[in-house]
Amino acid sequence: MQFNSLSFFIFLPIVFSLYWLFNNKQSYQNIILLIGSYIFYSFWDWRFLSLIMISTITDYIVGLQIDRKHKKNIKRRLLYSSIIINLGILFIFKYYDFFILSWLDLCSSFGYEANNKWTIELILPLGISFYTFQTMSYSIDVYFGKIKPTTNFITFASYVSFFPQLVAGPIERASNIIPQLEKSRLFNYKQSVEGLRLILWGLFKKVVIADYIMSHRADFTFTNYDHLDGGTLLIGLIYFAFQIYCDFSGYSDIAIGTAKLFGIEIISNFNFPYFSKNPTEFWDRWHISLSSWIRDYLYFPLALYFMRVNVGRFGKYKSHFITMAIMGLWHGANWKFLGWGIYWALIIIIYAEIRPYLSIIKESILIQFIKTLSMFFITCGSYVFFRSESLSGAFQFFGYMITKFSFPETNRSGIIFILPFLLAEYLIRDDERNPIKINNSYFRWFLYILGTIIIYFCWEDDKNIFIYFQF
Amino acid sequence: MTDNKEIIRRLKKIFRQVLNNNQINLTINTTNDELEQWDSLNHIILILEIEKYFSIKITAGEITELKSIRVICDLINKKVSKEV
Repeated sequence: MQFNSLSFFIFLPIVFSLYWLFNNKQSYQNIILLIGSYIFYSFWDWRFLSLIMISTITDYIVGLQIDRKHKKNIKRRLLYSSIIINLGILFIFKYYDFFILSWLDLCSSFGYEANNKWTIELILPLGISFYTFQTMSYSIDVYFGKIKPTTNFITFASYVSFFPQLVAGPIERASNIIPQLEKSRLFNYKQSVEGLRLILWGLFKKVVIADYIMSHRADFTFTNYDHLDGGTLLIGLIYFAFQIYCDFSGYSDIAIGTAKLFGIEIISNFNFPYFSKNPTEFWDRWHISLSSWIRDYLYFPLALYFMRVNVGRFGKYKSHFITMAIMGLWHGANWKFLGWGIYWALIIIIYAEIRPYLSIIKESILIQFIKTLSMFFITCGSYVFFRSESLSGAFQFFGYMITKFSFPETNRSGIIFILPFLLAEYLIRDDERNPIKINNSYFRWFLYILGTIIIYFCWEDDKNIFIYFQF
Repeated sequence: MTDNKEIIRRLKKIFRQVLNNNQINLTINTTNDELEQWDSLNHIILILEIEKYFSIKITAGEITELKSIRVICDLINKKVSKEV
């Protein structure tokens, strides 16, 4: 069930009404959330619910056992069992065929032609990369003593499968959600209104900007890149930058808004990333739930290890390469995502090296503008890997963009929509969770109605799935 | 128990040196949101310098929590008193 589908707008009021029939009754509310979430997921493929259940049961038991055992090595083994089971499921469904095919390609490049008897061609279960990371973080946090495990299975299962963020995040932390699920929720009118505003703004970004305005123009560029001029390719890349941002941040807004309707506050996933002035700031503002997950559970331990063993000036950057490569492959089993990760690692390393010199330059509005614009184009560079069909296609795209650069000949009309959108983002930049914060109720209602009418006319059936659903 | 004022005075020196900024002033309430240069790249270097100066060892689990001077002071106090 998509957020931008009719079935969701039938499903949501039903679950919402049932949920608040049990106002202030914690256990009933959680049972309704759990059943609702499983129904929501079953609309795609009920068979893969079994995988969610395996992850849920594993980490529920592991969490409790880690807390009960006293010996460090037993606790560690329990944690490893959670990591192996979760990553094992993820590996089989998402990466196994990729590694087999890559291995066979490598063999054939050495002249050895092997028959492919090993690939299993499984469908990728929806949301698997999101909920496996979410459940793993629970066991890791219990292991490090950051949280106490929950003894209530329904509460834990509702946390893992919470439908607003089940299929494409934000990847939640147990320390944020479980305490909320352990309390009864009282209906809060103000919170629900904030939720509906976020849903409206999220739908506007997804349906109007990402799908209606940007996606066709970006698709045109990437489909015909080998016979377009460099300027047109650059403009197409900018369209894709706004398509993916509005698609994914729109999804996240709908997720956060829907959670608010149930009295639950989930973490923010975006904080106006295209206003960033450097790569580290960008990663604090883009897909925050994944980047903070990777930072806390992968980058910090690796960096601590490499820097403690004192591997020299550039050796310390190994952690950046490994982290960003894994973050790239998290998106999908394809060499282009590895290219995307290496690209970002290089950007971050270059930034770390030149930062002392950049700090000499005196900050002014002009300098800030130049930094922001440069950062935007650096980000666009990463999208070449992200959007191309393959790694070699990405390099070709870069090649054509540079060698055939000229004033864009075609596909220019989308640019006029970008400036008003950026202006709107700039005006609401203080609070990403409250985009329609206007005191005048007539003007606010005018915006609600206008937004709804525009969404209605731009709606293109159910065919435009969210980009991050494929991960 | 070590005095927080003394810890903050030493932390200020470490922060100024690592973040390459002599204007930095720390209080017990300072958080990483307030210092632009205190990002994930510099966080690791700061932690390693803190480890070295106070002769303590910070684990991978603890490092993520050290987002404010108050938490860092508490951890240093806890670790140093354990050592004694």
